[in-house]
Amino acid sequence: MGENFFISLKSQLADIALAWLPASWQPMISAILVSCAVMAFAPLTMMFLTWFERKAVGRFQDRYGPNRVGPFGIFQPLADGVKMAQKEDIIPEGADRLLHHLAPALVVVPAFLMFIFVPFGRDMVAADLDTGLLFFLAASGLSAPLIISGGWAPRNKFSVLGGLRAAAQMLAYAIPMALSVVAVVMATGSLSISAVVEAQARLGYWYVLTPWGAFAFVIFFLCTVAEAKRTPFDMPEAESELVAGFHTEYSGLKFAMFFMAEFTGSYAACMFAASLFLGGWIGPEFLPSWLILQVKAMALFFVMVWFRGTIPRFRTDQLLALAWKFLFPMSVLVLVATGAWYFLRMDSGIAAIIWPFLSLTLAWWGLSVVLAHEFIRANRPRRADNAG
Amino acid sequence: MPVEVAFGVLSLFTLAGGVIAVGSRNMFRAALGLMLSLIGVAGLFLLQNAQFLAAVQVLIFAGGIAVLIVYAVALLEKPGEPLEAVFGKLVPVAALTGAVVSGMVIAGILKAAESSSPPAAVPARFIGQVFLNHLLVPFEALSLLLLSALVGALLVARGSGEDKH
Repeated sequence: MGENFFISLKSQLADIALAWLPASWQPMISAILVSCAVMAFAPLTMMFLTWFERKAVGRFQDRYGPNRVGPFGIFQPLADGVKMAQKEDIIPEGADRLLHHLAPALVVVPAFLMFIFVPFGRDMVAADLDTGLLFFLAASGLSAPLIISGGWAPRNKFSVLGGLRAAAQMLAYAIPMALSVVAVVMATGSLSISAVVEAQARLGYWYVLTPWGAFAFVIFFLCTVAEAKRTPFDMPEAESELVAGFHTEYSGLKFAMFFMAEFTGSYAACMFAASLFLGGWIGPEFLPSWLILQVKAMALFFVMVWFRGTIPRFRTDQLLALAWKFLFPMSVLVLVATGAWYFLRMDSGIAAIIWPFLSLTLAWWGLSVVLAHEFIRANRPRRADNAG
Repeated sequence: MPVEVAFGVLSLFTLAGGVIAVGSRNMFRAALGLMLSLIGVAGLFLLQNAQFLAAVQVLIFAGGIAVLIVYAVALLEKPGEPLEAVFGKLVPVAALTGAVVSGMVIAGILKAAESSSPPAAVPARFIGQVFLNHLLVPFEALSLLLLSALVGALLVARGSGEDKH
């Protein structure tokens, strides 16, 4: 399993196929092979992640987690899959039957699509687009309408509400997410994800170690957690209020599809965060580059699980306030700091690190105080005789 | 050959989405048809090497505007009954508009077919430079327009302010 294992595997398979087909099909065959790899990678990762999450959350809660099927319960996802497949597919009366079938199938498309643009390793990217970062943002933005359709199709008020909440949240967090990506684009001077990783290799440090990068990374990561609707941002699927949000009325494999979209989407976002801020596939020479990226992405996914094991759920208004009143102004400030850092770092040495970092930290604290004050004021118990 | 197949599939998506968007009585399905059509157009852009245009098409039209439409439809519905599309009665006006627009599109295609050079990929860097040099004034004017639309929307949403505290 060396550095070029997957690349040589792909070229060998392509050679076999080209023995049968005319040479003009070569790009098509290449595309099909790469898509197959991505389509296989995403569900396999999802199976592993569900096991990992249950195991880790179990540990956080002083339990063992799944430990019956296979060693350490590693085959639990397979058992779950079989169980899911056996369940009855219930379509509620009065539902839009076509959309009830289509929405769970389509909702995984944006999540799978995101894997196409991420460089898995050196020279290992399915579509090395000149504007890859824009395509990543576009793919992550596509899931919001599909989730609303998923919530709308069964014609259940709770699931419509869940879908609308999910969409409002995803739209709100897409903006600071895009702006923190813009900071990376400004520093690199390119919209290509491979170029971002190579720029970090050339500079010799990860972007997360720069003052603007540290803040942009935190904003980006929080936004990806919110986009994936994971705890503490999982109000759209809050069981205690909305039954289960937009996927209330889906059973069996349809429900599993929503789950798969969530897991693969969050893992793709982890791989993007690792590529943009943590140096992507750059790492020690003795490890293959594709393994390095997976290790970094798994570390980020562990942080997501850690959040889930630690932090309670936010309320919807708190979620939206966090996005619009804190992360959005902060990401604009990060853009200013990135510009300052870019033009100052050449001649002012350490001052170019300290000043942006100091001012961003101050802004972070200032905004936190404002937001906390907002929350306290909004949550103050109202007096009955308050007539104004 | 693969390019022709991709073109055929994407055109089918675009046209089918357009037919659903215009023809469906169910507003929600019509909105999703519009989204399908927009994504198909993005694919066609990608096929013509216009990467930036394709990304922006998905990001803004399919990801932004379609979400707003879908959101509004889901929000405005009464529970239990789907929002019905209202078909207008201005058939002559609609026919005229359709004829003029398709005439313009056909004329554009015929003109482009004369110069049969394949389109070259335009790097995003070049587009950015054009926006911030040659087209700076219209670019800024557009952002001013959007800002005023935003402020106007806020004013409308706030109402007269009498029943607010």
